[in-house]
Amino acid sequence: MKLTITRNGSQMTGSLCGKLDTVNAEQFSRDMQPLMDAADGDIVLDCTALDYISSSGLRLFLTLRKQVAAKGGKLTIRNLNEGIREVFAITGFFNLFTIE
Amino acid sequence: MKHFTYQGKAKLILPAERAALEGLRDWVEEIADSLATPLRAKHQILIAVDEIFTNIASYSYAGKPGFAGVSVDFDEEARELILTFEDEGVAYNPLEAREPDIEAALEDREIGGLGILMVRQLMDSVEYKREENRNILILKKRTV
Repeated sequence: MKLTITRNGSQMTGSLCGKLDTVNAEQFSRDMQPLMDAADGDIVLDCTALDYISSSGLRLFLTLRKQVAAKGGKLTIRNLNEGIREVFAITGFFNLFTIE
Repeated sequence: MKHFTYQGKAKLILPAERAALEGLRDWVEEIADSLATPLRAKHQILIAVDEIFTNIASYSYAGKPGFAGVSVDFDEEARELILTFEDEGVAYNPLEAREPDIEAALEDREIGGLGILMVRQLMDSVEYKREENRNILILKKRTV
C-alpha cells in the first residue's frame, strides 16, 4: 500500500496504490495525516491504482470524511474500480462521499 | 496460461494475532492465483479472509493467546473455493451479529459490523457451526 500526496494550488490529492486492508491500515493511517491536517480544504482521493479495500480501510476513509465535515472542507473520491464500487454499494458509502 | 490443478486440502495453523494476517493473506492469494481466479473474485476472497481472521484475532480469545486453523479446499467441478476458519475461542456466530445501519447519516455512522456484512454479500455462501469447543466458519466462492 502506497499513498502519494501531491498539492496542486489549493487542492491536495492523495493517490492510493495497492491493497488497503488490515495489514496496511496502520501505516496508511499515519501516511494520511497530512490529509487530515488539510481537512478544511479541498481533498481528492485518487483510487485509480487501489486494488481493494476492507473494513479497516473503510474506517479510515470514514475518519477522513468526518474530519472534513467537521472542518468545513471538501472530499472527493475518484476512479474507484468495479470491485470497490461494489463494496461502497454494500456498505452504503455512496451516500457519504462525493464520488467521481 | 493453464492453471495449476489444485488438489486436496491445504491447512495452516496460525496464532490468532493480527501479525499473522499478512502471511495468511499472501498464502490465500497464491492459491487463488494458482487457480487462475479472476481478479475481482480474488479481491473479494482476500477481503473475506481479512475480515474473518481479523475478527478471530481481535475477539475470539479475549486478549489471551490462541490459535486459528484456516483451510482452503477447491471443488474442481463447481470451480468453487472453500475456506474454513476454526478457532477454540468464545462461541460466536457472526451471522447472528446485528446488521449495521447503512442508511445512517455521516455523524451517526459506525464502522462496526461492516466487515461481516461485506463477507455475507461478497461470498456465495457463509455457514457457521459450533462443534464441541470450536467455532467453524465455512465460506464458499466460485472462482469464475
